[in-house]
Amino acid sequence: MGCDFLIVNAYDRMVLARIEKDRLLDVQAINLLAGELLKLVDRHPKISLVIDCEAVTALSSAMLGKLVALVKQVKACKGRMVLAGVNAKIMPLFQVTKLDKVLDFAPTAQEAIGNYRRKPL
Amino acid sequence: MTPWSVQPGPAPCLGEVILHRQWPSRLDVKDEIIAVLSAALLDRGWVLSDDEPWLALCLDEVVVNAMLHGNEGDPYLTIDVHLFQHQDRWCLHVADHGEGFSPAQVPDSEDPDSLLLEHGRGIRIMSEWLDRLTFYRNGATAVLERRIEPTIAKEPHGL
Repeated sequence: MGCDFLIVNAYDRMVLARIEKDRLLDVQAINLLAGELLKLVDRHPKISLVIDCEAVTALSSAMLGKLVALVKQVKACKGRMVLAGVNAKIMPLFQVTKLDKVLDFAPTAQEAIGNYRRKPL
Repeated sequence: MTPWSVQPGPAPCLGEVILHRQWPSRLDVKDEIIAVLSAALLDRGWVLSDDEPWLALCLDEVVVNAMLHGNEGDPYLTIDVHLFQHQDRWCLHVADHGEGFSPAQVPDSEDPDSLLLEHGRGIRIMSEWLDRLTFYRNGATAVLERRIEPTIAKEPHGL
């Protein structure tokens, strides 16, 4: 089953994945989303993955765990990943769990794409 | 961050029972549980509406833990929920039928080696917003406590 709230645009190794769901609290939805994102890493070696989180206003610790698994997989495949447009409401979750030291962030997806284009892998 | 602890004995039932419900350990009723408990706290003005995302997150964490870890996802087992008012605090007890857990199983969020673990952040997140987080019955009952917001406490509507 596909993930109907993830919109993916890929060009070569640059992949923009936009999450179109506000609350990432449901275990099944989280597993589905994480599975789709991991597939992108498998499909695109040395991926430059921009995850647009602008629509997300709530997420659980389970989703944080999936993001950690994802970034580990991205780095193992010599790629890079950034979370773009993270809502101010959920940024404290990354800070209190210290994941702001592990994950990269950008104000907007366009800015993240621009940064990656200027510094190709 | 609020320190948390695991105690062997039962949770103390202090104050007035505001709500007591049992639900099956089924994730499809999780949203209903969160809606019922959120309404009980928000409608009374005990939690500010600005804090609703933190409240929903704490409820999500504690309910999912009870269902999936405590009751191991067995839909025939229930989670037992009590909401108390005790003096200037609300206390939420969420009990499951599991054997609890050891604090040693929970990664230390201050340990850099724990940063890349894929689990163990729920307690850290709950501790950030709650005034007190205690696990009784060796972890099989979670007790979430927070001070009632003093300025806007009001009678609930429709409860």
